[in-house]
Amino acid sequence: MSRLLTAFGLLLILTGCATIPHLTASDADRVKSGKSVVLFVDNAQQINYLQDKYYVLAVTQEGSTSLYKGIWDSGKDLSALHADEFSKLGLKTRSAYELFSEQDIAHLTQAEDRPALQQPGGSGPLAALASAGSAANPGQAISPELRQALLDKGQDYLIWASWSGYTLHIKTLGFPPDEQFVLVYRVFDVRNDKLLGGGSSMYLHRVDLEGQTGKDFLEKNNLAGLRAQVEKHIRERFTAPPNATIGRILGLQG
Amino acid sequence: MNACTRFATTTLLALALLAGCSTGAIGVNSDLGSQRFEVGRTTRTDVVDTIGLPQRMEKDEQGNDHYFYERSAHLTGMCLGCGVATNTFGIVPAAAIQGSQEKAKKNAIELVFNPQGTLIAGS
Repeated sequence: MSRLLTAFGLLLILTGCATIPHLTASDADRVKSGKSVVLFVDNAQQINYLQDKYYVLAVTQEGSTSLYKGIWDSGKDLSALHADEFSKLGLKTRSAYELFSEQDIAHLTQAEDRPALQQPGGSGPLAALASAGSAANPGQAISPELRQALLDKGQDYLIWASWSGYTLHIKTLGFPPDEQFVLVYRVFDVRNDKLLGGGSSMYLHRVDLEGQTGKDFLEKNNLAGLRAQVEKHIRERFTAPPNATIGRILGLQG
Repeated sequence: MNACTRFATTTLLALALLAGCSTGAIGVNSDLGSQRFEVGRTTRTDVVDTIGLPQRMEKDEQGNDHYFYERSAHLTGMCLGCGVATNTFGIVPAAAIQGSQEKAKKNAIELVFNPQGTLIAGS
């Protein structure tokens, strides 16, 4: 129990460090009235599994990963999902995949080498939170190639979304499994080449594996379980709980 | 009931109780060799539906995808003493973790798919 509390305390501290400022009210109004594009970049491209095992005198943790790169185009699906959810908040948002081909997006995102758009170092939710905090530095912007491509398409704002990757943690001593990931957002003013703000949202919740192994639960039927869990939880983060929606975190909701 | 029988019974009961503490498993397939995949016929989708996603993936110069499946999960942490009543923070032996990861990588099978997604080789 003490380890659990320690971990929770650490998460609270790190959450406090993630100080990407949310958008000001005037910036939020401008973003809502302009054309915005959302681009979800999945640099994890894998499921992380953890399993705790109790051996009376010790507790061990085993891990495994499952790569879905080339099998699930998570960037395309999650960009579309976010475009849908941001549209419900009143933004005129389209998925980047509606404007550019997948090859173009791969090229434009690989060209990114600026800190504002670098993905979290390491893996897991804590690394993502730590990375989110670093984006508070001023002067960060999108690359010239990506900016020009967006300007050519008449876009005013870019919502850059990324995440830690999905982790399923199977526990011992009767604790239920949980699933966890951190979503990180940054909102850029494309015309003025400026980071307006952003925020992060952590998901950590128990999950019912319905008697299946973790891999069966998430990977069977062309990743049906993983797709369903991720979509469900991201949509939940836009709507509930009412005091911590992504819209509020980013300053897009009052 | 002699001492030996009592010990065995107690051990079995303890194991049964501890097994009940588990809330699931990752499900890494340790019996990969028994899967019947046919070169030239089995597709990448068939393989993923049967044994799940690979732990590692590489693309070669011909555009073929090499999927590596490990037969076991690897150790990522250990907390000695964490299981006893006088709880301590325990230790995490890095060498043991590294060794476990290397062992998992070596104990793997490799399946090769052409760009069309058909199995063309396996080991």
